[in-house]
Amino acid sequence: MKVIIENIKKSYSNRFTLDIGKLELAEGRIYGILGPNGSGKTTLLRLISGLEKPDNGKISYGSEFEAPSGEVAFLLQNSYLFDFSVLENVLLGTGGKSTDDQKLAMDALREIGMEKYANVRASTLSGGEAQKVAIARTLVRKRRLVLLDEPTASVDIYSMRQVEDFIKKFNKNHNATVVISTHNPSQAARIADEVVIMWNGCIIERGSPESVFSSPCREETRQFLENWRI
Amino acid sequence: MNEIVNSFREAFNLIFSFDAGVYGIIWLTLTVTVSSTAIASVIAVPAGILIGSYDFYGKRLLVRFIHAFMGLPPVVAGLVVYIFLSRNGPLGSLGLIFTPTAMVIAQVIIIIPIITGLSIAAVRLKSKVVKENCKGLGLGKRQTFRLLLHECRYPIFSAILTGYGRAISEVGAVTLVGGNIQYHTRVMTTTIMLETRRGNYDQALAIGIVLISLSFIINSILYRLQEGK
Repeated sequence: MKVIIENIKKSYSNRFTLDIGKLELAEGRIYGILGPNGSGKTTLLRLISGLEKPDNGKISYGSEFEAPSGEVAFLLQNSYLFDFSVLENVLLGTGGKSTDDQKLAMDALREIGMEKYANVRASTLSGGEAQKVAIARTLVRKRRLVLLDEPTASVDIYSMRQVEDFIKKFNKNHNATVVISTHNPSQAARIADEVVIMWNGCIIERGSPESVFSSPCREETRQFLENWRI
Repeated sequence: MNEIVNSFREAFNLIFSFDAGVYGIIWLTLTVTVSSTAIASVIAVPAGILIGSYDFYGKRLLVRFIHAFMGLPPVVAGLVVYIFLSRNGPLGSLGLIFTPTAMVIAQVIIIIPIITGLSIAAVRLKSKVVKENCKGLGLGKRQTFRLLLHECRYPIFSAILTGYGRAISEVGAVTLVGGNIQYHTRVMTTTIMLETRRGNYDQALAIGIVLISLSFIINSILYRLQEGK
């Protein structure tokens, strides 16, 4: 799904302002939104998902101006598992409980190495395990637009690679537009087709990971990247 | 001390005498309190979830009113119901005054604010995260409501139990609108009051012990139901 963001502004009690002139997200591509804490990554994803409305400007989704329910999935930073089993949680993402849905859910759990926990109560999982289940629930069925807010913030390095492979496979199978916020440039380099650098609520730079990381145009980008080895 | 021992003996005798009068009082107490709690819960729990999880104009004022009415004196609620249902009242033609139905109505009015207020507090903490996660998954409003109810079921269950506790211990309103008529509207709390006035302290304490035991048994049953056993 193609998403066009035009002239959006969002303020929170004059404490923080997001201000984006234009951003186009093409169908079937993976975007990595990078930036330090408080740069506006989460706010941008919340606006795209429709969880919040911009003060000004518009966001269009294909030919519509409302995020089409059922075609958009958003994994929140504070993702929450319901007090059910792991499998039942993932089934919430499928929208049904049929045999086909159960198979989809089990396949998703297998992709992230959580199939053996299918019947375990979600409340007994560790933080990282719960995060992986939340990712499986978000990516369990076809969506045209997927927004992932720091999906691997609490998972270990091995699981991080599993999750990244799962995201890439999902993107390839469903030709979905995937937007991932992260403050990890290495991760963005591994999975994103394009990276968008945010600083103080604005987009300061965008392009392919190779070009942005090898020769950043802005001093802020350089500052942000210098602590990371790509 | 002797009085307490005698009361326990009396309570034991009351239960195992299988006296129709005593069992009638127990049965009526159960019928009235369970009915009022069930009716109040059907209204108050959804209302509490909606008020607790949505922002709207006047919400703060409404919540303040609900909290104020959580401490509504039962006798005031009874008085209002009495005025409405008495022969010359607006609903006097229904002939409900001094009936168990009038007692249920009074108790419903007393416990609705309690269950609503506690349900609001129960959902307030979780509503944002549950609603946002549901929206993130593209779930509809009905399913979001069901999931919110599921996630808050323990504190909501406690709210219902608190309402039931208030109903079973209530005496002022049921005396006013029920009239404490033998074999018709006499419940355990009004019996205790009557027997105390008559100076039958053993009998009053015995009924009190039966009342507490009954309350304990019902709470235990409900807890087991809650745990799915």
